[in-house]
Amino acid sequence: MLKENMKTSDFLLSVRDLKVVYTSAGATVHAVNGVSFDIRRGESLGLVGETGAGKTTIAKAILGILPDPPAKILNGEIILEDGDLRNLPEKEMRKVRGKKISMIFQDPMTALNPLLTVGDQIAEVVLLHESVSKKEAMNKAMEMLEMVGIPADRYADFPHQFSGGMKQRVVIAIALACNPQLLLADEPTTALDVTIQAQVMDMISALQKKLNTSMLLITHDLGVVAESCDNVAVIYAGEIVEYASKENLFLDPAHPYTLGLFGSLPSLTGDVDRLTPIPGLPPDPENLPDGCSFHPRCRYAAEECKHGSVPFKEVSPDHFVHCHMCHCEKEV
Amino acid sequence: MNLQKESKTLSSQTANRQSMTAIMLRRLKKNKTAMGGLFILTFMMVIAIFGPLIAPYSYTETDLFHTFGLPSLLHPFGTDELGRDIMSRLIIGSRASMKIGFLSMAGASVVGIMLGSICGYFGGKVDAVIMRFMDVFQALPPLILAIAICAALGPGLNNCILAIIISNIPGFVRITRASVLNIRRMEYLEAATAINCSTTRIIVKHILPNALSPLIVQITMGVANAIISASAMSFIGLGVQPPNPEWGAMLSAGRSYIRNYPHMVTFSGIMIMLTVLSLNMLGDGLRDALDPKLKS
Repeated sequence: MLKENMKTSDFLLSVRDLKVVYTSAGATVHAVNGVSFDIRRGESLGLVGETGAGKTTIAKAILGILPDPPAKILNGEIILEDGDLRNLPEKEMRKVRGKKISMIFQDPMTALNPLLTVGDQIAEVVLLHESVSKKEAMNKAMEMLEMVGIPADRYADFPHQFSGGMKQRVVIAIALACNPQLLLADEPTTALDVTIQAQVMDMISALQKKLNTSMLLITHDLGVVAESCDNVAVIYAGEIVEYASKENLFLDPAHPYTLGLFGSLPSLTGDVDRLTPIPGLPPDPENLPDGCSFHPRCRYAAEECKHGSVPFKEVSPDHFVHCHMCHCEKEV
Repeated sequence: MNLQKESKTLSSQTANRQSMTAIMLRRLKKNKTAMGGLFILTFMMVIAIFGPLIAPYSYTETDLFHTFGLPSLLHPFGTDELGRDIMSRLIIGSRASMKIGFLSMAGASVVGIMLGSICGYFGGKVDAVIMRFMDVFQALPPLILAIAICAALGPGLNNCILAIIISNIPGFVRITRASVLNIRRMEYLEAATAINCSTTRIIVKHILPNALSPLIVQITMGVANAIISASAMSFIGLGVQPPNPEWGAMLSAGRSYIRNYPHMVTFSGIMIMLTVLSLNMLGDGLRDALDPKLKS
């Protein structure tokens, strides 16, 4: 649906029309509703949205680790280098997980096993994916520790002996140990304090450039996106509402929701007395509104927004918006 | 040059690895309580193993002229209602009691932990079916269940151990399941899935070590309970068969004479207590030594 004129092989990862639902006690939660995006080799895409917008679900769907039940992928393709990951048998998928695609988790405090040394946890992923001896895996683990700025002689230390920022470095080392082609970073800095956030983000970006890894960066922090992404997808209620290069999105936001997000940010340059938040709450994913799911909160909403499907418009080259009200030349 | 550097990192690596086990041992050694427990337990084991060589009298030798003898130089722990030397009987009896205590807990914990981790990890129908079976077992009082099993299989030490194993399994299943359910929610398991650990590896390497603490306590307490249960079975004639001695059986035999000859129950009671105490002391120490979060 998006950028169909381009060949898929230009991209490392193409997600097409992904739909995920959670079912529990008879209720169906529509977590992801037809999401499509592409990531080129070496490129990073920021996935921005509120809590519960379906960001993490997308990442887990790509990695194939959604708990089923209750989660179910209804529809969609997840194409990694010409192959649809959804069609891969579990045995092949195992070779992808941790090797081709790896994930950085949100909370470094709980993402490490408290009873194993950090070195062993890095060596584990190397041992699982590469035919190396235990000693080689250990050496690789020490190398990775050095790479994320932790002295290698802390190999035998346990997670509780590290600070939060260092734990996140270890998690990053685990994620990068097998030189993955795609890194899924699920709010990697949310659990860290602001100064450490900057350090960790800088490091992730630097390593991503160095290893030429593609990255899907999930965050609710537009500042993080500005710092380290090439493209941005704004996601609302399980749908991408705006998709653009970072420059386009920041200079020329088009979707009312994106405008609302920027309106909620304090500015360092301008003098604003009150921020203008987006009124209301995100919709109940069990019971999404008809038409555009943002219309109950949108101040531009018109009658046509309340029913039927919403067009995908290209407001400028490679800048797509999912909205009736944005005026532009062509519809996609 | 490169090679040299590599071999250097390697050697520092192996040094680190050795110190890992060493840390555990050092912590255990530092813990006086644990070492005390280990000492008593080793002592009991030696007695059990070399029992026939140590015992001053035969455990069946009766002396009807010296029944209910109080502790003396000839019979340090006194004699029982048939004039048998209590010390010799306790020494020989330690073999049966230790066997019951350890084998039954080993059996029950292995089966219970396996079933419990399966229930906790997979959940759903498997969990429901196994847990309903456990409910059935737990609906019967454990002693009645053990008696029923013993009665069906015939009396004797081995059947007694089997009966105790079966009646102890549900406890282990429940404790393991609860622990695993708790750990199942942790992000490091998701991380382990994301780097592609197999299910077995996740359970064995990432879940069970983290679920171990309550199980160690359950096992050490269980040994004591097993010895007591076995004595109840011996009491009604389903456990160890007389004249073979066994601590629990001796305890219940001496119970009838407790008012006039308290030494008969005292010494067998002390033996059971010492075993349990030493196990608890060692178990606590082990739990602490294995927990990296507790600094030594």
